[in-house]
Amino acid sequence: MIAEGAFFRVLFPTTEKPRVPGLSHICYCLAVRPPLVLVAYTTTAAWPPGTPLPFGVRLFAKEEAAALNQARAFRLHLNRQARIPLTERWIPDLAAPGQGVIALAPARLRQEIYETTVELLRRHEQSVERLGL
Amino acid sequence: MLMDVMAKTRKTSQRATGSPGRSPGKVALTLRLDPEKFRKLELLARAENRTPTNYVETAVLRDMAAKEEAAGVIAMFVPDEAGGLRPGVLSRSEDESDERYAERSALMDRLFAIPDAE
Repeated sequence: MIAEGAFFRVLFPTTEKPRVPGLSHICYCLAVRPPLVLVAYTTTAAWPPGTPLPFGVRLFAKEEAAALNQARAFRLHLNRQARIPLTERWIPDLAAPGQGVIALAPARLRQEIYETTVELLRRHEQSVERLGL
Repeated sequence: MLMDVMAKTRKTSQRATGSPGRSPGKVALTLRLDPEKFRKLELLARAENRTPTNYVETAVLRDMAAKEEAAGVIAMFVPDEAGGLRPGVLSRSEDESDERYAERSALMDRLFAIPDAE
């Protein structure tokens, strides 16, 4: 079932507006508040070499990815989130058994991601106040 | 390179574009460049099959996005159909303590209040 810590397939909203379902990405569930779900983006695209990772981006090496039923190394972008309705338009496997959940993060990883999110939100609010971003 | 070009900009002016054929709701910006820099800009833009104007706009947007990411800003994507929905009670896992659930609920209230990224 889709719950905090679940990795599942989402048609992540497009960058362009109006936002419509975009490409399929495995996303991490931060929270379910029916009829909405809050997810963070993941991608297997390579990170540019020599470029430091911003805070809130976490790499999952191949072994760690495999433990989460994912074939390739990936990175989780907690700084790129989407608030979407719990519908098949955005979550194509919603009606499938287990709602198409690919893996559930173990408690320790869930807590790590939660703590990172807390710090990220603190920085976000500070930046909004300081820079007007 | 962008910063270099922008630093050499001699004068900029702003005006709202209201005339037909222009992008409505956007603000026009006059950018003055040395001819040599402009030729470089044209070449760079052509290599990406863009107009010089579009190349500069894209470069500025990329630079803004990079700064936001470096500053730890969360980019929130909220489709219109979600914007009108009121989030319900936070779902809770069986093994979550009362304390953590309360903390997470407060955190989610703040996250769910972040508007759609521009």
